Amino acid sequence: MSNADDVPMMFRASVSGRCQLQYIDGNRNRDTESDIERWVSEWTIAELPSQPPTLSQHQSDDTCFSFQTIPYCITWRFVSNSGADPTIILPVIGARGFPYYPGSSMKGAFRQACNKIFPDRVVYYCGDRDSISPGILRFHGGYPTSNTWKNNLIDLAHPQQGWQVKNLDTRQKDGGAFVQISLHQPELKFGISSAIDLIGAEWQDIWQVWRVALSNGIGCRVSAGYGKSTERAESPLYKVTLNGQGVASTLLDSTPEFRPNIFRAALRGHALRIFGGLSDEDTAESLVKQLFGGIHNGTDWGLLSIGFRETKPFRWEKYGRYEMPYYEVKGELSWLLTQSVEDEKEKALKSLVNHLMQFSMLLGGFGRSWRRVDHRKFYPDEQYEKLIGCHWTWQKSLFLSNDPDDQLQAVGQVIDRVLNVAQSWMQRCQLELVHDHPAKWREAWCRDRAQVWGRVADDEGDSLAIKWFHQGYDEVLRGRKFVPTKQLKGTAVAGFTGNQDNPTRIGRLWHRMYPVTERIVRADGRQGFRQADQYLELLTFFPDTKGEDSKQLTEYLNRPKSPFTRLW
Amino acid sequence: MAWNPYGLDQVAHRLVQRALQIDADPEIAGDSCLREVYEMRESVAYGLERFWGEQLRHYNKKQDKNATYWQETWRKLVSILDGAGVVLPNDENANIMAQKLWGDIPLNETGVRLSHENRQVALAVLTQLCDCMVWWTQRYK
Repeated sequence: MSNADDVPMMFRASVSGRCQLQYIDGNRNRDTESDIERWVSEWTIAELPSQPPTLSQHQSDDTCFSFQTIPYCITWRFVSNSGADPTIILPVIGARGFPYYPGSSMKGAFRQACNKIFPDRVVYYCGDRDSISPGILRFHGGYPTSNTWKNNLIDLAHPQQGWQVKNLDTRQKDGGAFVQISLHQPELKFGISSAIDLIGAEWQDIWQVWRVALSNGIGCRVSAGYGKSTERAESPLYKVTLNGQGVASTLLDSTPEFRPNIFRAALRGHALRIFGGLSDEDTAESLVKQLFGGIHNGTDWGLLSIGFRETKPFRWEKYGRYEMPYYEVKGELSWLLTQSVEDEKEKALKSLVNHLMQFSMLLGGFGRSWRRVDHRKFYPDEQYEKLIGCHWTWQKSLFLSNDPDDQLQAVGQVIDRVLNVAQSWMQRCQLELVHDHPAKWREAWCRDRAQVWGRVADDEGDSLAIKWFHQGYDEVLRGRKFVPTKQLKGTAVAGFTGNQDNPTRIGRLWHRMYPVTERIVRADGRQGFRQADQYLELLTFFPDTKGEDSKQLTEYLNRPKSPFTRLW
Repeated sequence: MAWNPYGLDQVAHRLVQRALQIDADPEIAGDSCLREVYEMRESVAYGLERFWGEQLRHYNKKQDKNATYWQETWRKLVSILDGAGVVLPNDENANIMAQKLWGDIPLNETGVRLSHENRQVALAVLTQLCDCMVWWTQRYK
């Protein structure tokens, strides 16, 4: 006797009330299990042997010349869509319930990498359909080496491009959380066998090809950083080491996670703002889609993909009354080309990525709460109920001079350079600039919509705007005390976290404390950079022509005695 | 018991022809449904409820062409099995369908519930029907 309520999720109708894996109820009660959580527990609850039998039984044969296995770690997440449910990305699941990377996919990734480094051996290794000649290699796929693959399987994504960049009224938020199942930092053992005996050096070459494939990424969503190994990418388009701290993203069960796709989201958003200021909506969208991939007017494979290798692992601690996770991370961010393009185009792309990174580092941040400086770092006195902001640094200097005032004055030039590079990219794509019709988005980057203001702050404690957010601004002397007369907190300019009756609004101000850097000459004669105590306190403001709060702040910033000067 | 031709292959052929008609019908919204049969064949592995539910999922996604095709295929399955004396439910409500398909509540006023054996029979027939439809679809592609 069966019971419809006991039927496993996988065998139910994909409709509300029976099984909707992709649907996460934002207001769900923590005590009730969502469909996807139940699906995962039904999958993983079975007692599995610690290793899949297919590859482990050959373990002692590793010295054998015709079959080798090597385990590699995936830095972040890995997903290979099985297509078992059209509503959601689910991994390929093999015998005994093990998720695995199919040998056929492995061959595809190997062939692509082989084309890059040993093009003359592709046919020898992988075969050729036209001449009906088989290759010598057989690809056995990749299997997790331990049962830790069962942890943190539910992967959430919140696409927010519309909300963060485009919507004029941010009370309207479209989309929602999307869920998929991906393996978190799995170690996968890959197997390759050969039809003929090969010498050791030949095997080294074969695994070298596989390492290149891994650094390009395997599985799906590689452009967002999925499926990348801890192996260093050989010739990335752009590479930089970043330090970051702030509010961590969390999974459905509140486990904190560092998600490298925040870098892609930030650059994609900025590219949209900048192209949206230079041209109309459609042109901007298609340019961004060409760079990062997307599904605007048909699906496109983007030119760029990211990889992030943590050099100091993601650390976090609970903070405040709500026990929010506060993280610190250091790692090497690289941008890779997903396909080969002609040299000139590659050069232009390199310059575009470089300048978009500069823009991102100068004015914003990455990840949750990226529009605000890390309040814990720059305003530590207050006991926060909730954490706000992030702080990102790098060992680079955007400026020629070591003088903070000169650096402040050069901010406008840095922004202009980004715009110039973006314009030349558009010309390369043979698109006309439509200056009189910028996109009708809240944060389109054009002169009459975006303003950048700045001042030099003496040290960490000397941030003015952070006080404005808490106490108000435009102080006047009342009795013996300076009292603020205008408020930012809770206004549409500052933004706020809302509730059902009064939805969350995204503010119109970005606030950043960009560390002043000094160029130094090291003892060995090489040039280096040192972080000074001072900061460039930068405000990016998208005033609302109709809003009273925006008018007040504009009027205040424009006063002759304003602490901030207009930089762009 | 005498031999009875259930004509699965002819039913499948008519269903595939219907898919072509549905695709040509400007009144029905959504993308082409001809190739849906590959999805159908795959979803058979997940049982009757999942297969039946796909019509609702497609309606919810405003893919009426696909939804119509899945719905008509289910209807045909019901009528084939009816000829063999097996009652398969065809309600609109997902919960009632689930309860009927898994034998929790009777199929109709006679009080008969769907038995495990009949579920297996239905699934076997559905698998064969989908195989035939795949064969015909390839002829028209």
